[in-house]
Amino acid sequence: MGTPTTPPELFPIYLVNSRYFLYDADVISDVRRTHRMSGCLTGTLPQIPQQNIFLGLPLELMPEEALLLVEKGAAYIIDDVSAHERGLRGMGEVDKKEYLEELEQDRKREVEEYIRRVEEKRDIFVRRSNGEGGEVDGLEQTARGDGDNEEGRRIFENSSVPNPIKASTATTATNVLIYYPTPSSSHPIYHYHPDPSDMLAAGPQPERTQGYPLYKHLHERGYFLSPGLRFGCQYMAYPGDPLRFHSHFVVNGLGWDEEIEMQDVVGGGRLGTGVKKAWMVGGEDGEGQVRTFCVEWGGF
Amino acid sequence: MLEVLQDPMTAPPPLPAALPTRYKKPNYHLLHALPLPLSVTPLPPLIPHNPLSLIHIIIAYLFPPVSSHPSPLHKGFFHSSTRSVHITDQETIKAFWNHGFFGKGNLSRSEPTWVIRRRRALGVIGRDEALTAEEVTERRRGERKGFKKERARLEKEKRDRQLAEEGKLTLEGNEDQEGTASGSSSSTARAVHFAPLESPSSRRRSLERPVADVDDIEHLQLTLEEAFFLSFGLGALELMDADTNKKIRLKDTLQLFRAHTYFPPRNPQSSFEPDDPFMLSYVVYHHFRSLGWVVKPGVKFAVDYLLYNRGPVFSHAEFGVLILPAYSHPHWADDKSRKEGRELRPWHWLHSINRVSSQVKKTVILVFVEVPPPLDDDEEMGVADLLARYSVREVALRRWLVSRNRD
Amino acid sequence: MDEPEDDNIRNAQGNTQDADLSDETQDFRFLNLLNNKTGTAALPRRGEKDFEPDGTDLQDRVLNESRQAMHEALLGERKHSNKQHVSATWRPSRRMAEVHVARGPHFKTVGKADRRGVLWLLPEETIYLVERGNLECWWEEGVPMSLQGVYASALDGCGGLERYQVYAYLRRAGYILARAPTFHDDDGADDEGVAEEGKKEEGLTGTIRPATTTPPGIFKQLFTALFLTPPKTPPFGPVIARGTYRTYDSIYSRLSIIPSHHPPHTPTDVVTAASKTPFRIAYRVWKPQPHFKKSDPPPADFLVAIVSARETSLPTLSQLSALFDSVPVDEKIGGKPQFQRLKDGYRNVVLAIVDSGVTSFLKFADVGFGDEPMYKWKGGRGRGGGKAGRSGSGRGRGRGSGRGGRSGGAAEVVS
Repeated sequence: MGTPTTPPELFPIYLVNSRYFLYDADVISDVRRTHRMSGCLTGTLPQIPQQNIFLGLPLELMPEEALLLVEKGAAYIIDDVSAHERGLRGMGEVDKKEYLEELEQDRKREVEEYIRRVEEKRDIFVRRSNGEGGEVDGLEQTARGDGDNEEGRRIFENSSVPNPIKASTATTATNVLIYYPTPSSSHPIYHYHPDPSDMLAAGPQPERTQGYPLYKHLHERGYFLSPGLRFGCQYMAYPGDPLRFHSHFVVNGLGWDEEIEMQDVVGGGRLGTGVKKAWMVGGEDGEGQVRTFCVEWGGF
Repeated sequence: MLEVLQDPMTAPPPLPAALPTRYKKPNYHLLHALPLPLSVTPLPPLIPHNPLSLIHIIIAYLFPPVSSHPSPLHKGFFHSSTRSVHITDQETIKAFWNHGFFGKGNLSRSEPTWVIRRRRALGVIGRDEALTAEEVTERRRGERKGFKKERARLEKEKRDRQLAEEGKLTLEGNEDQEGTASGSSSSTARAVHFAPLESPSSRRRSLERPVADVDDIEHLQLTLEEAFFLSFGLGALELMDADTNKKIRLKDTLQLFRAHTYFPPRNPQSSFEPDDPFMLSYVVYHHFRSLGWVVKPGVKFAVDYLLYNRGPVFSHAEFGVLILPAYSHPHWADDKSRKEGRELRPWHWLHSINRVSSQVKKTVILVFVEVPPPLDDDEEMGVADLLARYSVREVALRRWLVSRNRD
Repeated sequence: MDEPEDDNIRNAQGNTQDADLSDETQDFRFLNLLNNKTGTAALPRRGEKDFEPDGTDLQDRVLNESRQAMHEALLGERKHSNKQHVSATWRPSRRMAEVHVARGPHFKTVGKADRRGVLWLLPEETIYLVERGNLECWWEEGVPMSLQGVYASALDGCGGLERYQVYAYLRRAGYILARAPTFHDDDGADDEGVAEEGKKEEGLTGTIRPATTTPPGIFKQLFTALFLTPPKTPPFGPVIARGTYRTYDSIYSRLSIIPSHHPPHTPTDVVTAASKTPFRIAYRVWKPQPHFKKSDPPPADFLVAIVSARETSLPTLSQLSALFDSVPVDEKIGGKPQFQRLKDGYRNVVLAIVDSGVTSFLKFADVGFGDEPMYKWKGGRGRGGGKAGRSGSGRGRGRGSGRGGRSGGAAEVVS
């Protein structure tokens, strides 16, 4: 698990039920680094499933993010439901057999690897205990009932057994764990992948929301933007990666001639200043220029 | 092995807790004993076994000593330019503020206190005599400002040390490519500048010889809803037109006020819509006042009204009221543009208001006002009946936190 | 005392309503600080993040480490061992997954068996378990699904991404969920729906009436009956016509001319037909409890409706009203103090609003200020009769011409 590898230039964004997804960790890291978009991780993180602070794949992109990536020529949209349907329909029997065998092989390899590691540990332990003249720590066989996401390490020693080597092999055979992983991304065998150059022209286009001009304007100036619902706005604008920075602006996109209630301007000023941010409104004027204005609570 | 910097200076130290009050508060319970600017005279108690008490009661009933209404009635001046009613008579100001917290001093934060502050500035009263709310605020702000300056200085020192370590800055204050300005928070071109806090005119020069006294030029200003309640509702206020100096008849008041809740004001003779801002606003004001709440404008917290149990001097407002028109009546079924404009608000707008309110510990109440269909052209209706065509429904709003509702 | 500085937002302290760690993106470097059991953090408080890029190498390094930590976390494998191996096949025709052999603790709260004893999983349950790594789901065509595959297959059956996201969010937090009978628009058609007719007519729900007050006491009632007809308000006011009033209560009660809503205090029949998606209860939610029985659950702790922030706006009153009518009255409300009643309400719904992957929950409560008149609250309210100005034995001021039946000269009195 080293640094992220460089993914191919053009990457797909998967459309399911009118929402935009990414499933590949490399792509996600690249999008973050190169395109300054964080998206929103919304899936359960299998390492620690019972919490909502750190979430994992899939990543959901805002329509604005998807549109901008498509406009920049960095990505294209694939209708994922039909891509799977087509792929499954076209899956040949031979390919299927090969694929399933491959999975089986992977599992076997893992088991062998596991046994090898355990025996290695046992060897080290035995050597150590023999060298120390039989002083044993009385370690017990730890049964791990929920070895879901860990490699059930077993350190065992039964000091009453006369032949430790024989006993350990027997234990290993009955206690080995076989794992059933679910990959994040779909395999081409059942997932149809069109030619990227075809998709740029013909693929579905994300909608151009009312806030898009403002989104694009701020993005071009180096900000990361994420959904602002909880904070009372359309977007939050960060001067850098949200992993390490607090946001600077609570942003609302408006129509150029849209009326704003005074009360809402006051509210915006209070909202922002209360959390050390500035309340920003902006929109596209008649000539395609985007203007932004900030309101801050003053004090007399 | 991750390196996590634990610098005690990273987390901003908490600001000091509330400073102790340094002045004596007046006896609010006594001052604000009456909830409305009307007096009541209870009947004497009935003592069942004492026949005299019955006679006492009958006499008190038949020959009541005093009317509940002030005599003469209080007067207020309607100013079209400020869309408010001005009260200049000192007794009236006291009556309206003390008995129900109506109005606001036009030169003060709430209760009229301008003259006291002026006197202090001119040396007529002592430095700590009868401190007003505004003055307490100013003093505390001064203390906070000093504290924040100190904290910013420490943070800058830390950052400069770090940059120096990395060889990007020499500690003498000479800048490298980064161009760190001293004192301010900007370091790159993209930094955010917060406007410096405006300090109120704190340059008070004490005069050589104290002035005898100063005229009070402040008046109490009533919002149109407050004025309407005091005149139409309680019958305690008589309205005069400031421009013509003529009495405004109760009959004409509603139209006049409705006209002035538009900007620019409309012609009071024109016909109005049932969902005029004034109608919706007044219906809600009247509703909560009639239940005994003290209702004050809430624009400061981005809500329409604030509700206090007894008044701002006794406790915080518990509730912030947001008025939303409802067009359930079949008459409005086809009026899509009206409904879309008024009924459909974005979710982030609601979150914004809820956040601001919860920052100051208030609960938001959505108050839906059912808008009745317009009257037929020839229909004439008294004001009370007109108001009774509306109805009000409250919905309380709170943020629901997943982690807090688990147990 | 309304301290002047208390409304200064610069001094606003953290508020219970706002504090939620999942509000801000947290640094993945602290992932291992989280305890699997509690899910609460010894996470560093605000102050760990920086205000803006300051050009230091240190900052860059920390950022890279943070990103690296996130990247590695995302590569975490979704898997389970043969000890808890559960597999199922997705049946597109039924939009549910057919479980082969049910094993493990999860099936206490998910899955429903059909008549033949075969266990079926709803689409949201399927995605959730696969995402967690507890289920291996297969296509009918005979290959196991990826995470991407299960989303493509099952998301539509969940009722949309927002519904699934809220489902998973609450499950992760430990709650137990079941689809409400009103999950789909055409469900719950078995109740009256009679009220809908009446509602359309008036725009009122029949719960609206002017605020009333209970009559003061038998003696005064007698007086009222014998001597008084409450004087009618003149057409243009004032409502409190001139006279001598005996109590502030009487003044307030005369002022109450605006009809207002009174929520039902006792359990009423639940009417579900009027509420329409998305303002319709989707899930019943229970707080985590060890002995939960799928087949015989206790009354739900919360009822949740789910909306997408971009596709909906605030509900209209009729939508909100219909939503309230579809939930039962909270029986515990009577015992609560008055302020709580005004905040928690007789009926309430939790609305989950989802905006591009970010969920926010708001609780809407059906309250009635008209039921809790402030002027009647006990506790230190000086409502003493104002004995101001005893200006002689002022006789009747000759009011109320045409009132009839009153001894001459007597002032109009209201008690």
